[in-house]
Amino acid sequence: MTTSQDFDRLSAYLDNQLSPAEKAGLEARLEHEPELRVALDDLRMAVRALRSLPTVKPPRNFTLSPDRARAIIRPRGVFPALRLATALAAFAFVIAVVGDFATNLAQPRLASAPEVPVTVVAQMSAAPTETLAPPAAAQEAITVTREVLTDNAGSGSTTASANATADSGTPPISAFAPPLPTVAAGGGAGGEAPLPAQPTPTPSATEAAGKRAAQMVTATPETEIVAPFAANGAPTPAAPARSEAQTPGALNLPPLRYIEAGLALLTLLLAIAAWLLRRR
Amino acid sequence: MDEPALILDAQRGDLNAFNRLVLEYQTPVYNLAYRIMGEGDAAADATQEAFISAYKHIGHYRGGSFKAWLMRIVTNACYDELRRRKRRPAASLDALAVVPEGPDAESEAALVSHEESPEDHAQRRELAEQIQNCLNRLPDEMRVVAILCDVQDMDYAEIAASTGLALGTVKSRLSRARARLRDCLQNVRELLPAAYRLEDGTSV
Repeated sequence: MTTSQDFDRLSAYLDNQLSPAEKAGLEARLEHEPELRVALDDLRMAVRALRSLPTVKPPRNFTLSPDRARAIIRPRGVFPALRLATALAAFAFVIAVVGDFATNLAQPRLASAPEVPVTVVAQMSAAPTETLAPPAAAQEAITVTREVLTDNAGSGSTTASANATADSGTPPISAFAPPLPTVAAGGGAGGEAPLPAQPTPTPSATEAAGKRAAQMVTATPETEIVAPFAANGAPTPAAPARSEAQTPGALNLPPLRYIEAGLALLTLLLAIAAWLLRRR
Repeated sequence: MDEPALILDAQRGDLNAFNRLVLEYQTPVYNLAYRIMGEGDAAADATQEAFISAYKHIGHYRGGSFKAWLMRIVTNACYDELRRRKRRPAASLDALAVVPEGPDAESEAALVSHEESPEDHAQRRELAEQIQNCLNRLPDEMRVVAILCDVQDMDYAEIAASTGLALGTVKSRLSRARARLRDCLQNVRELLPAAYRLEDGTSV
């Protein structure tokens, strides 16, 4: 049986590439092995067939014109620059997405952070601060207020909050930490009320936000609950200001998303331009 | 042609010297591309691409066989095109299946002896198509080695230089390519001239 090693030797034998010793050994085998001779003849036929292929005349000359030659040797700086710009834009996009993701991861932790005692709230509320709560934040604040109401119902602990804010003697504080109707009904038990830490809104800002919140609340069944906040000698309910603390990164997120979208678009456009240039 | 002098002038930026080298080698370069690609348009593109690349990189040529250097460039250009075709197989399989009619066939006809009868010419052309089809069925790396050796008549050392392969690899790939071609050509044995099938001595 003819092995692949035999074929290697026969092929090299046809090209006269065997050493004298190998050649003599193979010729000795060829004399006694008809199968090997047939394999050699078949290989020879294949080689002759290949060598019989006609030479094909080139369809044209492939000489280079001076213009073509100048274009060839001209450094092509556009493509490397585009490629680098694409890589940088893609890197910036990844950084932006990772930053956004990290912000979103941190946000739930802030929202679920342990609430500070009411005394701290009172101290904080003594200092006037900024904050315009957007309508969306106000709406969220209503939801949060509902949660607080639910959480504190029956505990009566927020009465302390009311007392503390009343002691501070600053009207905006009562707006920030108003007495909850459910608490008033349940009696004024002492103790520390677990209210969240939050910046204190200014009267004007809180009032505006409160009005918006109140308008939105009127459409919900909890109107009776929230309405007393605003009517309690305080210009606003606590909800709008609280919403600011609930979503500390809310004002920063939209620009970040714009940046992400812009970077993604830029990366895509640069990649397409580089690809088209490369194809040319 | 004083090839070393032309190469030196081309390396110094003399376009005329480079174009004289192109004219000298464009036929073997195009034929190699034609046999690897199996069709004329792709072969012309690969040939042009190879000479452009050669002009761009002629400064890197460091002696040795200039023909082998050119063959290596055109082989790489063909490999690149074949890889592109594999990524887009729909456009290439048909082209690889048969030797196309048209300008390429005319080019071959232009080299056929005028003493040949029409019947002989038709038979010769059919045989060439069958051989090319058998070549096209070989894996790329085997096809290139077989063409360089048996069509371009290069020796093993030149093939090794052209392909960047070791001599042993050249030898084994050539052997396997020939074995496969032998199997393929069994189907068209009746087309092969009697001289091909003579069981004579060791000369090919």
